[in-house]
Amino acid sequence: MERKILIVDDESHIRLLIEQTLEELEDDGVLLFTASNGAEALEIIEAEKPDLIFLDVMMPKVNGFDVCRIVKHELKLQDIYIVMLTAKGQEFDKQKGQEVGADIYMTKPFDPDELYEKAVEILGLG
Amino acid sequence: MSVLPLNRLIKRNEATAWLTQFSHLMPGVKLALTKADGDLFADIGQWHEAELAEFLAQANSPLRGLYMGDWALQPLIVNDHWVGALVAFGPLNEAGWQCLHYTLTLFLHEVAEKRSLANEALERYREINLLYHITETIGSNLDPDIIPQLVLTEAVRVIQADMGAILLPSAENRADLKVRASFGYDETDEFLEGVTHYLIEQVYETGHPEIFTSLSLASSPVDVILCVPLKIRDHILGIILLGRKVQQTVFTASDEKLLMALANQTAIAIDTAWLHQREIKRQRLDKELALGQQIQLSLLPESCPTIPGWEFAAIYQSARQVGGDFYDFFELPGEPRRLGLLIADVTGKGVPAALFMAFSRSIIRTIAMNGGNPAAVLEQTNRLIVQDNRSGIFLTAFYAILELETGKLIYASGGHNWPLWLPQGQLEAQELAAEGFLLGAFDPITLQEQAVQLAMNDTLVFFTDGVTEAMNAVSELFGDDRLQAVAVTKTTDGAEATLQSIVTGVKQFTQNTPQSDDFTLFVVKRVKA
Repeated sequence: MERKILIVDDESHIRLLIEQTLEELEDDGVLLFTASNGAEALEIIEAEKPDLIFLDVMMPKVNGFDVCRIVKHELKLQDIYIVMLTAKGQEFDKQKGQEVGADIYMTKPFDPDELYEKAVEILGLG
Repeated sequence: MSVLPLNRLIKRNEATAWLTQFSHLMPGVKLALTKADGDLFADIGQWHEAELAEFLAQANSPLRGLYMGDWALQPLIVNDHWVGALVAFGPLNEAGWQCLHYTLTLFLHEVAEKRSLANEALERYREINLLYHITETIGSNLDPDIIPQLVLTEAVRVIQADMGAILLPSAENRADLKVRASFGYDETDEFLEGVTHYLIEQVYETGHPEIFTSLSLASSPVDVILCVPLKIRDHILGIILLGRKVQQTVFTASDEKLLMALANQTAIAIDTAWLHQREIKRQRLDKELALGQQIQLSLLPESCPTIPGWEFAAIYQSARQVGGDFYDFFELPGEPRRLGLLIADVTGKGVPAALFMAFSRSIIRTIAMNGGNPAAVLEQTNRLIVQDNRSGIFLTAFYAILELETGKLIYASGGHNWPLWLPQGQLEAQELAAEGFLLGAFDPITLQEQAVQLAMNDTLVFFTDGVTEAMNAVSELFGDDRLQAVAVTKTTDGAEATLQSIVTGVKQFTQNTPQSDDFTLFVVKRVKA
């Protein structure tokens, strides 16, 4: 079965970095998608039903929490694993994360190796 | 030439869209992008695999661009990486073909450039995370035995090495480097031998990091080595060493920089850990010394005896490091009225010395109370101590019995400094000499016993080697001669005056030089009742 990862961040360099970190997974047949805002992300989610989303919390208009809430509660896509990305030094609102159904959170600047290993683990690869 | 997968640079659907646009400019021409292995990646028109393979076979060796009129092939090479090939078949026009592969190559270069910048950024991410992580881990660790392994594990993971080691001296302020953490090798690998050994010594001496790349000639198990000092301020604590097996992946300046940053954090952590250990040790020692001193002080007489016809004065000043002096006055049972005078010096310091002192003092008192003469008392004391001396501590002691009515003094010395006898009116002191060996080492011993008759206004000065061996700034000892000289000056003014005269004399001699041993002194003077 084809595995899909969606990377959502309004900062293009973060998208690029995560994409590049995960590009080796493409060799295992994983497809990488990117979105630069919440609305775009929701479009891709509905169309592609990714297995895993790396989702930035701080985005203009539809933020990460909103996207997560819509995915888990409105679209009822409980199986999509959502990793919230939050900036280091910024206290992640764990309660809110739990309310909207986020699975885990990681801090930026992320550790590339850790992010890669996490993706492998979540997708059950390796 | 190494291969860079085409899909890392351009997505399949993007490539197809792009080829489609170009195909409009070249009607009737089939276009294809192949991967480095020759497999089709994206295409326009109906390609047969055999046809594609044939073109590739013609171009592949050597890798070169071909323009054959009805077909053309251009290898795609980006920054020395073999990416794939652009292939066209049909009624080509050369300008269009040139334009096509020129723009494609330009695009791929741009993407590759972006990738390398992103890689650089990811590298920084790794560094930041490593330093963040390591600071968090080792910053809270105060065990110098654990820090090296924590650091090496992280260093090997992030900088990617096959072997690694951290070397530090066996203890602070020592120069002998010992392996304190190791990774990926065992003794038989001889990782730290030969050239590596030389490299370690060099970095340890100069404090400059080194990258060594030509180890494949030597018998080393690794091909490249990165060696950096663990340095705090200008002090080199030790070495971190990483090795890789494959010649192609030499360590870069960036690796070196990262390892240096890591080494600096490590050096701070180790320095702090050492400081912490030192402080704990110091506190423990201080506590022990204080306890020892407390015991010692509790065993000294609270005050001097008040006996008509005699004056007594005593002083005890403890040194910070060494303890073990004591003195004692006790009235012996029976008639005539007699007073025991004891001064002693126990070897060692701290609690063990203080306990030994308490033990010896009790034995001497107990035996003395049975009424024996000084030599016999000390000989018996020696026997009991030798029988029970497991601590390897000894003592010197001088014991005298003074008949208070007559002034007759009998005495013996167990290897102790002979007290001074200052007969009234004489400018020279005499020693209360008596041969004898220190107590607690051998049994039996035989001590000489002597006696003198003290006349009115005669003075005795009992002391320990802390007095005669008091040192001045140029390491000269106060000595017996100076002691005798200051002792005789104030004899007419009483016991306390003599004591003060000696204390002042020693102080003037030593000036501000710290006292290195206990200073114990007591003075006895026969006066009118």
